[in-house]
Amino acid sequence: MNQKLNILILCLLLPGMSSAFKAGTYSVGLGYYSQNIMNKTAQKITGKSNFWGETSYPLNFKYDFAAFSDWFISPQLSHTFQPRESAGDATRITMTHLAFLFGKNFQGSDFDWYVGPGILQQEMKGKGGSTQLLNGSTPTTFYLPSRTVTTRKLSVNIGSSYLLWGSRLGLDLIFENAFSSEKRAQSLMLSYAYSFGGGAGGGRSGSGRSRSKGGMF
Amino acid sequence: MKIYSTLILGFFFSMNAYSFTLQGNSSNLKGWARGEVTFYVNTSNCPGSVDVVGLVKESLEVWNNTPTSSLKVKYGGSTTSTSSSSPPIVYCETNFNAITGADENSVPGAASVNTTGGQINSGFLVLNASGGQSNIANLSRKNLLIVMTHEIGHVLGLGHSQTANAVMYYTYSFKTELNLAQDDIDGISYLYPSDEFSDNEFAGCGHVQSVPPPTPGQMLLLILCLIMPLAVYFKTKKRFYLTHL
Repeated sequence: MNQKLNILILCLLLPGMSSAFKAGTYSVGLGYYSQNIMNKTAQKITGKSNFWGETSYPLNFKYDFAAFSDWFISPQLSHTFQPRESAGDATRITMTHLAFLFGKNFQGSDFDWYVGPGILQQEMKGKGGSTQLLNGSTPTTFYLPSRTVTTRKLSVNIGSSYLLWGSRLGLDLIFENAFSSEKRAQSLMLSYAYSFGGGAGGGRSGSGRSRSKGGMF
Repeated sequence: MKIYSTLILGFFFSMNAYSFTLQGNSSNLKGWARGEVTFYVNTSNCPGSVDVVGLVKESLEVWNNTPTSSLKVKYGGSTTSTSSSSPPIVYCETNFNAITGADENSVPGAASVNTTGGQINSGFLVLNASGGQSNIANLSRKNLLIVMTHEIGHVLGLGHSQTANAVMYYTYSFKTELNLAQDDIDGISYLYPSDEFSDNEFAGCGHVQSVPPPTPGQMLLLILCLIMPLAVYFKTKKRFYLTHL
């Protein structure tokens, strides 16, 4: 079921492909964030893993600054306003990711690529209470988490996006513990964002070489 | 001093799915006081055919691989102890039913922790070495690994999970592979959260008490971290001047 939903969302995103960096452009959109991908977590009762991980849907905000030549700097903020809920709604998990992306347009195309560091924060809010679960053959009371706990990780981000009709389709890989052989994990974010404002498609802002009409807003 | 002890038994029947739970008698459990837990193993009563030390080491690595947790677990060596202690111990029990109250024919392992003020202060893991059908000598290595990982999860402070994918689910009957589920990762991250801005970690390298010279990769990350805000600042400043000229 989850896999079908993933494919459906991917299909909905694909037709809206769009644009690369443009100085002074704002992008606002929705992301499909799959945490701990590439067979990192068990997805079936048998313990079998698959490519995808746990899913949440952050809202993304991005702004493009022109840096030098045709390089850009794009701070990007992602936040899940609708927290991921563990089964039974015992814990709500909110993800916030702030990335400082540094990238460049591919010559003569609407693709760009970018790389940069980020901060990935995950807040777990427990609801508290207790539940009865089997322990051997008899039910036992187990307590559910009640505290609010925050994890913060440095991330390394790499990605690419494509601009078409004033909106942007992005694919980001987010690495946690990138330099640790033990705890390294990778997450994937597919994003679709409306872009508005902005000027030059590459290099300096305000050059009057605008290719975007200002997006969907 | 309020001490609570819970015996968590393994496996075998069915239940609906939910999320991770905690050991002890309250929702306020915080795990072991230190995020580094060393396990000692007493192999004196263990079946000769079972490499208990190897299983413990392999299971500990599974818990070490959780990306958002600061937990570091390791094997410390052998011990002769058979009681709840700090650091925790793993041992085999021939009189499994009398010690745990569990059915020797269906439960291969059990674990217990003592808590004070929401913190675990001692614990142990006992393996079934009785004459029952669930003697660990009768289990495959794969199943033993799943059982060991599950029981170590209890010693670390996790209760049973309500999610069937999870290692902390009450039964291993359906499992053919050992992988933590996101629910297990959430649970262990809840008890031992990793915060690279406050703990002793450096750029995701684990627990590094004294910071060694950074590798080229770490240097690149640091340089990027420094350059990005500066570049943004100077660019914004330049625009400001251009606008006001």
